[in-house]
Amino acid sequence: MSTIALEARALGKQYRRAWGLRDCTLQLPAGRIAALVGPNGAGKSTLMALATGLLRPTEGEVTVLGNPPTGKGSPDGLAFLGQDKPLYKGFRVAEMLRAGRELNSGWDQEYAENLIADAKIALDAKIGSLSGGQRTRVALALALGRRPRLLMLDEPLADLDPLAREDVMRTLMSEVAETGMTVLLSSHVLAELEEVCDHLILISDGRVALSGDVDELLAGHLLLVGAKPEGELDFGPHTVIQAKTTPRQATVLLRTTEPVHLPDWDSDQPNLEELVLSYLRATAERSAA
Amino acid sequence: MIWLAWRRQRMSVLTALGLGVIAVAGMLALRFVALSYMDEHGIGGCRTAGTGCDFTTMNAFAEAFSNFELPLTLFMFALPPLVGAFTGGPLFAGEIENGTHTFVLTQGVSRARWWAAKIVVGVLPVLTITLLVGLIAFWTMEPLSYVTSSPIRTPGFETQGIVLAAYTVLAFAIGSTAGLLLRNTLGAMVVAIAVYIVLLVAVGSMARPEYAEPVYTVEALAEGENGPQTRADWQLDYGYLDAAGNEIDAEFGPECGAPEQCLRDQGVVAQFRLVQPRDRYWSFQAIESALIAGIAALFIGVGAWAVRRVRN
Repeated sequence: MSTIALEARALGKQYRRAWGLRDCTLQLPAGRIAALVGPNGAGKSTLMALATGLLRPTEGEVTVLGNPPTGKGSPDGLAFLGQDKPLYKGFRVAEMLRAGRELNSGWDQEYAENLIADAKIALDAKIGSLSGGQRTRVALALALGRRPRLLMLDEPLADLDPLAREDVMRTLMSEVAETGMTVLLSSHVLAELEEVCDHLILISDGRVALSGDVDELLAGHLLLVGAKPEGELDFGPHTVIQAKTTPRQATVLLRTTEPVHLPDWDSDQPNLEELVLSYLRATAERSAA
Repeated sequence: MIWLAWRRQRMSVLTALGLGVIAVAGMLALRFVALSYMDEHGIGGCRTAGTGCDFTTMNAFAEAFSNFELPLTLFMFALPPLVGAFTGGPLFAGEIENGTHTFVLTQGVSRARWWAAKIVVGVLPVLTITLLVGLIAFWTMEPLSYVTSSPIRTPGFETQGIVLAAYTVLAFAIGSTAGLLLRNTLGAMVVAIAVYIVLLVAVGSMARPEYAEPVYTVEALAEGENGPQTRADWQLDYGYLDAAGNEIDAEFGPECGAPEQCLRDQGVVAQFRLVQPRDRYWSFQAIESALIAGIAALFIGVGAWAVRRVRN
């Protein structure tokens, strides 16, 4: 079994006018619960579509569990839950499950039915009559019923109310805990990912800005808060990722691997949200400059 | 996959079946009423006016039934493009509009299988339905051949027999492939109907007269100004000949007097006609069905290529 669930090498996709993803190189180790974050239009959906084989790369390559997508259906072991959770509105839930069974060789009907029952959704309910949260639960059951080793979810929580979000995440995490599958979850809402994700892939402007295990990423950065200094910010060997200044105060994110002693600054390890926001601000500043 | 395709497409198949049933019911009713009328008026079994088939009675029959026959013929003209466009247009475009193609294409089946299953499940029912409707149309309209034009002529040719099915498959093929390319149901249906009409007219006017060498006949003028009108044949051309056998333009005018004398005064001694005879009906039906099926196969082939380019 491959220890790399998803790998991209110099992967790029050019749409008619612009690049949707460019020079994307990353490795997602198996067993991780990874957050794929970035602003809208950064290339998250493009990356997922390339991994499923819905799109073909313009350059570079992508492999899923060691195999490139072939266009002959989803790569082996991958299940994908698309952004709008596309389901046939006129179908009943049981018919949707039958579609899953007909379309997949490794389908686990009992498991899928249990997931529907856990969600308290009737098997004869019409898809079109379900709430957003229920529809997501059905789409999730369809994806999990395939018994995937890698589950990719594109903005699965985007159109849900807070209670439904919690529901969906709880279901997802308990199934992940049981099966040990790898998860790649895209979102632009960071708060809901922080508690569950142990790996981060940050995409901005079609490129990978940051990628790695969350613990290591956080340990590799320092967030400094202090009075705004007179001259230039200078931290010697440490890289300034981004600095935010108000007339009196400065907040600086440093990339550093060793402890730094700076008497004028309050220094602390950033949390995931601070880390991601600093990187996003930094790329926004670069593209504005 | 077949199950899924059927589950998705059964409504359009049932709609096509409904339209077919309406057409057949209308034709059966017309046939029944026409046969009773003919028996009552002593022209039972008559197909043309002549011996035993009184001319005036036959014309009264034609007049009485032409009003019923016309809407039915129009319905039969509309049936192939409507059935084809309404089953073919949404076939892929409907899925792409709702995003459900990203569901199917990220499961464990290939694009080729998805495409083929949808095409087969779409084509077979409409092919069967319209084939039956076309054959029934030929049978029911046969007693009314004095009312309608001959089945080898427009509109009989297009609205009866096996070409009905071929034309329906053509509209289906255009609609389904246009849907893959345009990603839009309404656009696909509009394209299907527009391209269909162009091909229908082009094939009928340019290809059909060429399926076999037309029959050229020359008749002496004495038999009447237009000769014996054989309503059954498809007349491609006619004209007048002088003593040397050359075609000449002859004109009638109010000052000209009796038509026959008028023509003779202009040097006309004979008339010619160029026709496709009535008995070529089934061979023409077979040739045209094969031609249309071939064009439909081209569109299907473009669809097989286009499905590989479908994206999210």
